[in-house]
Amino acid sequence: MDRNACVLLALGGLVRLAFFCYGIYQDSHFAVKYTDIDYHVFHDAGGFAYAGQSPYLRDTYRYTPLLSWLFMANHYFGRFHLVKLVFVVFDVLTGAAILRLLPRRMPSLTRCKVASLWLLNPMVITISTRGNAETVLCFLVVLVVLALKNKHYFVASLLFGLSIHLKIYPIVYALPIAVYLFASLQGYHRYVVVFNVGLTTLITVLSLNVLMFQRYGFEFLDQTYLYHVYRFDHRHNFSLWNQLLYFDSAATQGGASSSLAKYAFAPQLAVVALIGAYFLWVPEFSHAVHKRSRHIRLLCNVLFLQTFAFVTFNKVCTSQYFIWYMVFLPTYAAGTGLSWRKLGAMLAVWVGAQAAWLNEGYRLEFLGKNVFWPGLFAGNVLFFLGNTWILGQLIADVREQCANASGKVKGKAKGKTKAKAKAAQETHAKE
Amino acid sequence: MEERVTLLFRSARSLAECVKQGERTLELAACREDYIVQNRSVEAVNDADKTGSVRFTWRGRSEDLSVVGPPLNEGANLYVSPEFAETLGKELASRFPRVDTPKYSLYHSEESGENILGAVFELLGISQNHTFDWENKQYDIVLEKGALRIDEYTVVHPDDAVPAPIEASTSYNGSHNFEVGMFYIDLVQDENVNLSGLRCIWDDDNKNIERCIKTSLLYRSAFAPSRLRPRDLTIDLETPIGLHPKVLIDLSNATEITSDKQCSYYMFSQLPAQLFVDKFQSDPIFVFGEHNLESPDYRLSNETWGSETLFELTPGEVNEITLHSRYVAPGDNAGYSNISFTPQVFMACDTGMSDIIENPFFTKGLGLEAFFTDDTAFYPLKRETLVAPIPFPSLSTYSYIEALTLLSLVTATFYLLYKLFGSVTPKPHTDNAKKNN
Repeated sequence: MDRNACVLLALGGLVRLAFFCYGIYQDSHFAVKYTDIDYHVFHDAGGFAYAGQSPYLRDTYRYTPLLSWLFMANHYFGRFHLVKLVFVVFDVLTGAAILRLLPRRMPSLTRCKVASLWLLNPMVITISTRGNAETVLCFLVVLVVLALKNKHYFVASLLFGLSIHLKIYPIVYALPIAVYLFASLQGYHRYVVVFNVGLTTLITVLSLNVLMFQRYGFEFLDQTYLYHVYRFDHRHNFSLWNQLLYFDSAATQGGASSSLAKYAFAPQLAVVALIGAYFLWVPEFSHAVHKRSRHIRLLCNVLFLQTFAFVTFNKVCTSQYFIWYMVFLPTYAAGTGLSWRKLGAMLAVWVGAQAAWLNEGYRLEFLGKNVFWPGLFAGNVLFFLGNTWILGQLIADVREQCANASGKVKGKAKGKTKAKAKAAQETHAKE
Repeated sequence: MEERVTLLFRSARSLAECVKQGERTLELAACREDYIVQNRSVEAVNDADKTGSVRFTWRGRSEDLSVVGPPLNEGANLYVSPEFAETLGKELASRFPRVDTPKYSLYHSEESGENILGAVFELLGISQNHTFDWENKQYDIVLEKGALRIDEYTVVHPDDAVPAPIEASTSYNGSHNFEVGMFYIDLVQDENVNLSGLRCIWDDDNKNIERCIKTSLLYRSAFAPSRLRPRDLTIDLETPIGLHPKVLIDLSNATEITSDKQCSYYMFSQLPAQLFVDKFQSDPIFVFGEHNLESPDYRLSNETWGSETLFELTPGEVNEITLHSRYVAPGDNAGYSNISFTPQVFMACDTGMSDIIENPFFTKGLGLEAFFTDDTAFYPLKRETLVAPIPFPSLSTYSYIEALTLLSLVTATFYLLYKLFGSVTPKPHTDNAKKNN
């Protein structure tokens, strides 16, 4: 790792430490606490685990027991804020992994600029230093991609299984990962690898779940997984589905109800799956996946688009979900062909749609104003359509870059068949 | 069967003015000041050996009973001690929502107590023909050691006072003792109460007064009259009231009281299901009952009536207690559901004297006092009914929301399909793209 990268990582770490310290100060001096409410949930659950009890004794603890085990450290050392430091470490390590995924030929300074989209991103820094556990998941997901890049398929499968165990959503990555493996390997061998990776992932997920089930029983299954099936998130959030779900959840009271919300998963699944099956829509697919280093970055972009779509179409959406796709922002930014103007417009829409909704949300939550219709709902629609437009721009950009790259090489190759053959030979040799 | 009527006046003058004493009769006359009537009947029922107790209280109109009565919570409250759980618990729980605490199970209703009380009498096989006035009276009914004690309280305002003779109730059969006490407050100092007045005992057939005796009562009251109210004590909701109503209790001037005794300030409140305390974020002494942090009101209303919570307060500052509201069901028109609750601020002191548990008018029993030691004296300082409006949307917007949700989804999906599968034309490189290998 070069000097610039080291400086960036150190800077990322220091900024987080500063936020961490500030958080302790704010917690002890102000009524409004810096620490995330979920951190208290984790901490309390960790206390139960430390006392040899079930973490599910803590109301609203809806995560794998593994997380509560991590929080036992808080109780062992008697330091409430300790695990936040672990999150900070994960956060910086995620940055390091991102640096590894960026094109090697990229100038060091540019690479650092791009990686700072994660390492110096205020949103990411705040979320991790407030004690939100999402960064652990982000780290695992990036690590899966890094392991795939380095052809450590077994490690990748274990990590992938672990990340699915932590939160269910990374399961949508299974499809693009399978496509990646299939397209980047040759012959009969690729069937074996895809099968092995799938099986190892499945075994990892199952054995972790069986282990937790044995230890904590039905409550583990109920709180960690089943809850997501029967939950009715009626409280206002960014999701387009929010108000329909509110009405439907009250339908037993003689109110209106429809079957639309029951199919909420359908468009989400369809869009996420289509993006995941990227051989369908990437132009010049064979060229795009021909070079391994380029293919891994294409995979990152696909995961980026997939996560962005997943969050946009989800039944529940809060700002902590944004971090799920932000982890792929640097790798995307490294290869984008969008103009500054376009990027600025996208950022403005992203921020503006959130601000529009947040304004209504604030009026409801803190001023007690009855803004359900039309204000809050308009905010939800604006957020959804705005994010969809951004997703459309991102998709178009990824496709264009693939087409561009292939066009460029083809153009060159016309007169230089020798060079092309040589390049092909080299890639083969690498594999 | 014993029947006893107690009249409590504010002053000796009031007593003289309001009660006309004949040779053998007593008559209430028009009054210029309010007074309180406690009508007590005690009747043997069954199972004198049975331990534990059942207590029912009703408070409709918000008036303090002062001196002769304990402060009661709003609405109907039925407290059942664990000993009665088997006889009453299952049957009642199937009909009324319940909250369990370590000391009692509590059934609560904002409307009249008729249904709950009727069910209890029916289940315990008690037949009694007391007529209840849910509109104007408060009740404190205790079944304990085989005796049923009904205390009925009426606060009589000058306008309501109708001249009438004081007579024994005619609705009781069998032997029946009748006694009337008329008192005014001589002195109240902390928990020490001194009443003066007259006690009259009726003859065997309850037609005429047998004799009247000048009486002075000196006792320690577990609920001392709130003469100690700190200046400027206010209980308010912070405005604007959002979905997390914040109760502000100003105890800035409340330091002076805790001089010699071991005292602390508290806030107690029953909360309807639409409001709740997050015991993980605030720091209550207890929350019993519904503390689910996520469910909307309409998912809970069949299972619970709400919760009871107690907070310790810090004197010398404004105490903040944050409550959270649940979503309420949409209505035909958008509006607000006005949820009211009545926090009570009081001071509790250790007295070291356990005789405080009982006085001639009332006894500590199941209720808030059950969570304190027997020697605790309570000083009710203030209670305030607060209203938190919770907004809800209109059902008439449903079809628009459904249509627009669907339209947005279809538009978004087709747009994305177009972006995924539409044609791509490679563009010449822009500056930004040069990073691409």
